[in-house]
Amino acid sequence: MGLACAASAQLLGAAVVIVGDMIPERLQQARSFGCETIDLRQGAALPDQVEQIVGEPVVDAAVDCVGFEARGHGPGAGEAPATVLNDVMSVARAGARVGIPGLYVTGDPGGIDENAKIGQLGIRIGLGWAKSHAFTTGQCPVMRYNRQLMMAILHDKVQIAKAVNATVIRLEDAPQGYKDFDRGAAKKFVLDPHGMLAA
Amino acid sequence: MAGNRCVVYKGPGKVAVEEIGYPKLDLPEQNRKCEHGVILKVVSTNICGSDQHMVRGRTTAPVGQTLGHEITGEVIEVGRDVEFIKKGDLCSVPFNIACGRCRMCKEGKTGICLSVNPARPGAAYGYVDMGGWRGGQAEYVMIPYADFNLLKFPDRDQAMEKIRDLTMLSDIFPTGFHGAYTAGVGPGSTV
Repeated sequence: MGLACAASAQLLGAAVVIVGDMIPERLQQARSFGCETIDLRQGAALPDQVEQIVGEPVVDAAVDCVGFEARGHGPGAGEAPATVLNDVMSVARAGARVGIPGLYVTGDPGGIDENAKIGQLGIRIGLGWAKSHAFTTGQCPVMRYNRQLMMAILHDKVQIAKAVNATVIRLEDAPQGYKDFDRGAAKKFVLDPHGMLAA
Repeated sequence: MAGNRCVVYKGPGKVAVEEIGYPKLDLPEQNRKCEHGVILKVVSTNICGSDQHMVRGRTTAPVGQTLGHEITGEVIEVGRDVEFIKKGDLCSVPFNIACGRCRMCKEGKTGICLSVNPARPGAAYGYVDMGGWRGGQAEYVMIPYADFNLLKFPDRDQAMEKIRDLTMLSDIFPTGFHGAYTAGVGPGSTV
């Protein structure tokens, strides 16, 4: 979803789109269509890395495309469900809006602690408040956008399949697709149950 | 009667492709026919990052949960009350199931439709806590409120040429776009 969001930001006219990730394959994929990237496995502070790209330690707009299974960054970091939200607040300029299409839940049996198990996370709301950030949460209401995005596709104004690296596989191969995707393959698997897409 | 194979959650880290039965235009919990629905022959259906939360065992999804909410398909059967969608139409299915009649739908907030999930606002195909609708990582799937939900592609041949792009309209592309749009991204923004 991060790659789709980056392609969308370009479609909206962004001057600079920075993708942060811990998976080199996905960073490479982001660079393939003109994004800047930050490798979050490096220990350097995020605002410093942003400054190296745009000349200041903040951006105009920030989006959390990860959600509740986020991991902390830096070497050996474990799961830290609020880390992306706190990071985006740290680099979004004062007055910015923050998009949160990444999924958060009310029940997570594998949560790191009792709070996380009910979706209560250590979000630094004081920082967001101090910077007058506005947040948009929730499922995307698809109908608000799908017709216009269809027209952009049909008239070659966006190459979304290329951006997310659409990869067609058979329905029978779904279990392998799930495994590869879970391991961080920079691919968007498209199942083809009736063999209608096979190249 | 044709069968219907679907991707099914089998416990943490495990999915399988299993026969789940050809879909019917029925709403069993409401004990009535789903006359506003259609049956789709699934042309393409994507694996979503959010499916991974279920498959990793990070939700309360039960074993046997059918999967798949990023669906594009061809209409092959049409309910009595469907007025505008026709057999043969090639359509993208928004992953949010919405009735088009409730207060939220009337405000365009189709991700929190009040009519399609007894447990909470909002529903989706093949997802835990999202209303119990069957998954679309399958050969066939039933789509309720078809006139409201489906986005018909204008030309079938043109659509099949760009199907790898158009298949992203069911979730990932609008969802990514929503993230950027609601973050206020515009000309010249740094993001």
